[in-house]
Amino acid sequence: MKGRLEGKVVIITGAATGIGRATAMLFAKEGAKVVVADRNVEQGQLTASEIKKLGGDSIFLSADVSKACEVKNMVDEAISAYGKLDVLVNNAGVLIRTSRLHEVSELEWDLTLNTDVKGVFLCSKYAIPYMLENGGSVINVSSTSGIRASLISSSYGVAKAGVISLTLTASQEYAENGIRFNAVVPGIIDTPQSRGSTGSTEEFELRVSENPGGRVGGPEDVAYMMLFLASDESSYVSGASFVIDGGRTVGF
Amino acid sequence: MSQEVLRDIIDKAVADYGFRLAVMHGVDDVIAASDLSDAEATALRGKIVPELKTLPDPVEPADRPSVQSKLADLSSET
Repeated sequence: MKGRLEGKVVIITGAATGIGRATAMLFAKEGAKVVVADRNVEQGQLTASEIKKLGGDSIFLSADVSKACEVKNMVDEAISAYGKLDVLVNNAGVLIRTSRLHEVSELEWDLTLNTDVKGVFLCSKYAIPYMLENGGSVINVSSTSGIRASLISSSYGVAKAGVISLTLTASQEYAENGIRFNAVVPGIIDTPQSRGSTGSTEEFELRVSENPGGRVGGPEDVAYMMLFLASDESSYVSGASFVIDGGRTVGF
Repeated sequence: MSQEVLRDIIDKAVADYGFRLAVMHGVDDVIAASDLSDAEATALRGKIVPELKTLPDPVEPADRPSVQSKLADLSSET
């Protein structure tokens, strides 16, 4: 039986760890050729080699999504390796905790916005030309921090709200080309970044206990939604945002 | 002045996993955006980043203040 992404070529940014890694593994299992992109070379290479070990097709490309030249090279090398591009997953992101707005440093603000929003813009900018003729699917990873107050990090909240806005606009701009844009909006997911954003294991466990059902999602919970959005099963889905938080946000 | 900036970067990198990753994997961006002297930039790149890679992942160290002081001392060594 064929996989749900059989033959599709996918770039996943931030695929070294967490949600990106889980998505890369799942997509490869479903028959995709997966370009694992990350600036974390060591972990990124591990993800790609793990996929190959399991019989999948993958390459690792080092890329900092906040830099145009590196993004352009990433897309060019992906095309050179696989000849086409069907799916782009804009997952790379950084969550830097901030104090109240007047105490946020320009460095904290810029590092967050450059990766989390400019990165989505740059990757889309350089990937879209390869989708104009045959269509494609772009999946942007936002966060529930982008749809409500983000007390842990104002810059992160702004960035993730921006990701949703960009998704909405792009879905309209490229509908005629058959390119779909959707966003996933994860709540608390058990990833290194999520754990790190709380500072300690105890604090993370406290947040877990406050979540509906007393559990948080795993990276695979987000990966499965992205699998649907990457596949042809979602051919009529575009400009949508999907909250994956176990019901936490509607409880606020 | 820039010594304070470097200390702020070190303290934040020890305490905040996300910022730590940004420094570890994008130290040149951090240096470019900060008013560090050449010596401080060299210390951040050559001494502090390798130390950050040894910290517990992905949480802050249990004895955060002492780690912050240790790295600050390390950065000022010639």
